[in-house]
Amino acid sequence: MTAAAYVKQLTIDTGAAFQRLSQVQFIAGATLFLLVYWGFEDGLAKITVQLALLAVVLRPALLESKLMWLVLSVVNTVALVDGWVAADNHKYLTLYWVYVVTLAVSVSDSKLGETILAWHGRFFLVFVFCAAAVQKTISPTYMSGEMFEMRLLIDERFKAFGHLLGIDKTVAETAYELGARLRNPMTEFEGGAVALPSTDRIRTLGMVITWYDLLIQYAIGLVFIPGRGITDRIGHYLLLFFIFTTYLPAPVYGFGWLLAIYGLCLSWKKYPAFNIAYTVSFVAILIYQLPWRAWVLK
Amino acid sequence: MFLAIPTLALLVAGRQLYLSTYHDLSTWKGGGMGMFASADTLARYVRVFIETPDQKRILINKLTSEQNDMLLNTMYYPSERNLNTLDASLRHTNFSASREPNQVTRFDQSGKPLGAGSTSYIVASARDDRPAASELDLPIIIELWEFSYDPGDRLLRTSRKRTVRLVADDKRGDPASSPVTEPAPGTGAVPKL
Repeated sequence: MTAAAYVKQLTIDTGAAFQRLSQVQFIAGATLFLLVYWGFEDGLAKITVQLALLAVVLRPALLESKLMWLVLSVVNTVALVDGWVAADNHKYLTLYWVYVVTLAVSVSDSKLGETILAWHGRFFLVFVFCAAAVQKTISPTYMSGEMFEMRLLIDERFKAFGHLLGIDKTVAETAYELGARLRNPMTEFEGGAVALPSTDRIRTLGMVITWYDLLIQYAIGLVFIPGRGITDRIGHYLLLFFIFTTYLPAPVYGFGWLLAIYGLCLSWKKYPAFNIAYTVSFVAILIYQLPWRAWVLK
Repeated sequence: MFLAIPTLALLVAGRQLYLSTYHDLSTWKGGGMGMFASADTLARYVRVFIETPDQKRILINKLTSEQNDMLLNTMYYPSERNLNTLDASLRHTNFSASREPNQVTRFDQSGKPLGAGSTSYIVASARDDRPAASELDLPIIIELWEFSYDPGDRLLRTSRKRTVRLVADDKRGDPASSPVTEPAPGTGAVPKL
């Protein structure tokens, strides 16, 4: 069998496998995976999630246990309320999604459970992307390009990505060092300022990322609103493109995983090819955790 | 049934927008989906000092890990509650301090050293091996600083957004040492933790 034929057959088999799977069970499993790997670090929540995983390994049917998801809802709510100031936005979304799964496993009709997942998946896609895009639009430091140019220069996490885009790593290293020196309380700078070694290229890259990020977020948020076949298909392409490209530089893997869950909830019965693509995106997010930044900067 | 969770998400986002607009909560925090909308998490930092009776400042350059979390909370959301929580913890902490003041170094805008700066600090580190035998009754100064970057002149600027002076509980009735919040320029201490 040729490689192309093998991939085609694998695609058909995987598509058929999705039709046989329980959507609620699969999504519950992916959500539990999210909680285990990128959930709350709070002691009680972490231990409860690990116990839930052990219980599911021993008895897979517990994935659809109302009691288990209710307990997960309670402990994760306590963890978020306790640390709400420092919690990232995707931790809020994770908690809301635990509520959604709890609701989906609580109804006796599995079709209604699937409808609950799909309806909330659509809501959260629209909410996340539209709210993020609006926040960016009303932020002067975002629209001026200041935010991304500053990140390319003095954010350690963007150094490897910037290097991939052609920014000399010594430029970012120098800028980072100057920023750290300016922040150091044992220094005084003339005028309280330091000149960063930015270039026209970095400025242009900052503006390109700024506008790409804004436009794709508006596009994804808006295109999922009508709920029509054509707009949903465009939305899935955009969302997949966003997941595959964003979570390589941005190490917020739990967020990417959650977006793939939302997308999968919407595509499940309608678009087998997208189901496979979202499953591949799960794999990509895991692979993105490889220490590629250190390799790039070597 | 379908509207409960979305309503909760929208209410939380509305609260975030309010707190971010009027109470300086970072756009990155609070569930409003404002990640990457500003440079807050990169640009904000906090400096902490103890004020001596002769109005000099002791720089606290190392906190316990629990106090680092409190400092981050104060940085993301400088509410009275978060400031007081950090203040209360610091008052029950043992510090080890340098014997002599350390001189600040002055730089030009290209990062070239120019010599000694105008200030010097005794530098203190929090010790987490044991709590303090008695409560610190000197004022604690918390300064909130922020970077801004102008792509036009490529200058990274830092400015002090707010200074909060917190006094010990038993001195709160004294008008001369009541809590004060003031915006002002200057240099302080404690790198971003």
